Amino acid sequence: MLNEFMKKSWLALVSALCFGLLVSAVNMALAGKIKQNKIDKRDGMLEKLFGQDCSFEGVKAEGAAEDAEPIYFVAKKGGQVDGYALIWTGPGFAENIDLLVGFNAGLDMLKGFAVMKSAETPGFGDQITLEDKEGKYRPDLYYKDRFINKPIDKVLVRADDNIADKHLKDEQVVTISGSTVTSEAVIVIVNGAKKQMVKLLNK
Amino acid sequence: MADNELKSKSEAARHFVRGLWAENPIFRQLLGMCPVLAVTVALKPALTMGMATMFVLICANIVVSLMRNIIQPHLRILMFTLTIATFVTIADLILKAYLPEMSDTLGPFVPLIIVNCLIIGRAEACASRKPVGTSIADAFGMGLGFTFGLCVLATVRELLADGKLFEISVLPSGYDPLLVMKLPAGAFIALGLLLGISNHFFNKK
Amino acid sequence: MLEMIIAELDLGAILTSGATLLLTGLFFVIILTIANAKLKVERDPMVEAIEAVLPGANCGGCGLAGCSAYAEGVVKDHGLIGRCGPGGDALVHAMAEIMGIEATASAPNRAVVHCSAHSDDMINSTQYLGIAGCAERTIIPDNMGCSYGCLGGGDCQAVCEFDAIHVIEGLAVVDYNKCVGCGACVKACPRNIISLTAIVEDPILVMACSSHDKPKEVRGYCKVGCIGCTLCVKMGGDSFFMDNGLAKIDYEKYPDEESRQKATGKCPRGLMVYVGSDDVAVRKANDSREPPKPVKAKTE
Repeated sequence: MLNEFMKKSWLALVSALCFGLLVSAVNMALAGKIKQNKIDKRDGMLEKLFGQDCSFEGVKAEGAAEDAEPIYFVAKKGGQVDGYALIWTGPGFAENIDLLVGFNAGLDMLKGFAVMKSAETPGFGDQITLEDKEGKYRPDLYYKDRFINKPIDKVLVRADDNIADKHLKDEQVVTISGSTVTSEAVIVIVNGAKKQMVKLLNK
Repeated sequence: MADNELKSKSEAARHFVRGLWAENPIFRQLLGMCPVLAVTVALKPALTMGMATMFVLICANIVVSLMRNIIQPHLRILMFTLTIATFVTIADLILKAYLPEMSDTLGPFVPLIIVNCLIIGRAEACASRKPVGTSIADAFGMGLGFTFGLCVLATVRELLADGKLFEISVLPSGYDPLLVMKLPAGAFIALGLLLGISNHFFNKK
Repeated sequence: MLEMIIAELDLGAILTSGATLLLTGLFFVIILTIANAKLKVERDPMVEAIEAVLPGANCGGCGLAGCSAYAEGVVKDHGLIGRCGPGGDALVHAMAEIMGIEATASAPNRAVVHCSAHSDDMINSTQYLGIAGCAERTIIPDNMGCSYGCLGGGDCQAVCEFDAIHVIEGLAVVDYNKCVGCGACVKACPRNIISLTAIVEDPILVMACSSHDKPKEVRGYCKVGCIGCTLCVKMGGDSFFMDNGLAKIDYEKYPDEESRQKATGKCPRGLMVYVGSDDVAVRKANDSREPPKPVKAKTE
């Protein structure tokens, strides 16, 4: 019976083994490159937040393994601490949004955020990823920029609907019209990141 | 012998040409609609998706064709999916390593190639019956036809939604973008219109 | 590059994943083997054997849904043997051998065009210059004199998978060397003048007109149309019958040579034709001329 079974199934078993070896080998050959890509992407995002003349240092949790992911990053400019950043995740409109949130050195102001991963609706929610590529800076044009220099000690909230002729309060953020859910998700994630950052640094 | 060779050659050529238009997976067979609707927001992801699918299709067709004579009927689908899953994983890893940006854009749609009915359909319809040469030609034809379909749809959508092709603006700056083309609804509208046009020309013959 | 890649490979980890997949594979193979043994649907081996020798064209010419349905049908009803056009005689013998019966070839169904009017035979009051296809043309009133006859638009030619029907001088003509009787042209013809007819003899006599119009009208638009004179019925016996002003042949009682000659000889319109595989084109029953050479009609 075993003989019969092997006669019929040897091909499936041999291929399963071969395919397993093949996938594993390819994975191993490319794992380094894939990891490097992720680090490159993260470093690119950090540079966007703090400027290219900064150097970055990942801080790992105490007692973490050597290849563990850093829990936050310290940006240094000319030996001086220029700010901190950490990656924080929360639910968006479609999938989870991963944000890299930056803080200044005194830990009282936001430096802004960069989007690591999002799958928001094209044309609407994905405006959170838009940035000033051409250098024509107009404050408040891009959603990202509305977070710069917001105070850390206050919880950020959505701006009231009729703000046209009123001054914005410090903690208020004007949302993207047509994608309130995404805008609010980002506000929630940034608030979460603030809390975590303060907790991590006060320890 | 020479006669046989000629016959198989022409058969391979026939299979190749068939996939390009007469049995185009998208416009004629309506196969693999999931990536067709999902990744055709812009040309670049569409082209990447087409290439990834073609890679998987060719590899799977070769392997299935090689084992077509020793495969057991009750293990057939197991073997097909095993083969396809292997090559999709490899394609996913390659994209992650060398085109990380595209890999992020395509997201879950690369692993979803495993269940793309085009690939298992070709394995069933062609590779499990025909010799390797024909199967490769078939995979190339079907793959190119699929890529072509994706690119046509992506061209229309990117042009109307952004006025861009390959992320380069081609329409005058006064163009008012048709935002709906970026959304799933736009995918259905554009696909429907293209199918209508292709049917119109195909039925004329 | 390659060396770098090889240096990164960790053989232990690779073997672990290979073994994982092997075990998963083994698990599923065992499940499938058990399922295959326990749940296998028993099929008649005879059906499978016949399905294996069928051409697999799924053309539907046998009148069943496809080759698989035909295989089942033939096993149940041996009378269906010989219905397969693409398979031909060789298939009949192969199937007979599988089922262990005597092969008696029955008449295969072939497409027959019930119109014999070439362009020269039509008397048209107007010249049609519209869309070329039959389906379009047939909805335009008075686009040709006869409202029954072949339009010559080539819709049948376009749907034929076997290159067996061609429009020759304004008339669709079947090439019986190629026709397998799949019936695609029968469905395509908007005037319903093509039928599937059992070819009891080759060549076979067919009534090549479909017009039920009154004699005066027929004379007005066609040189070869049936005027319902009933001479064939009188001369040829009970194999011929009248259907609403149109003479027809009853193939259940296919007329013998003598009555055929009597009937065709008396037909004043010369509209009865022999069709079959020895002539590529139609041959008039009372015409000794050479049949017209098949010309592949040009399509736009």
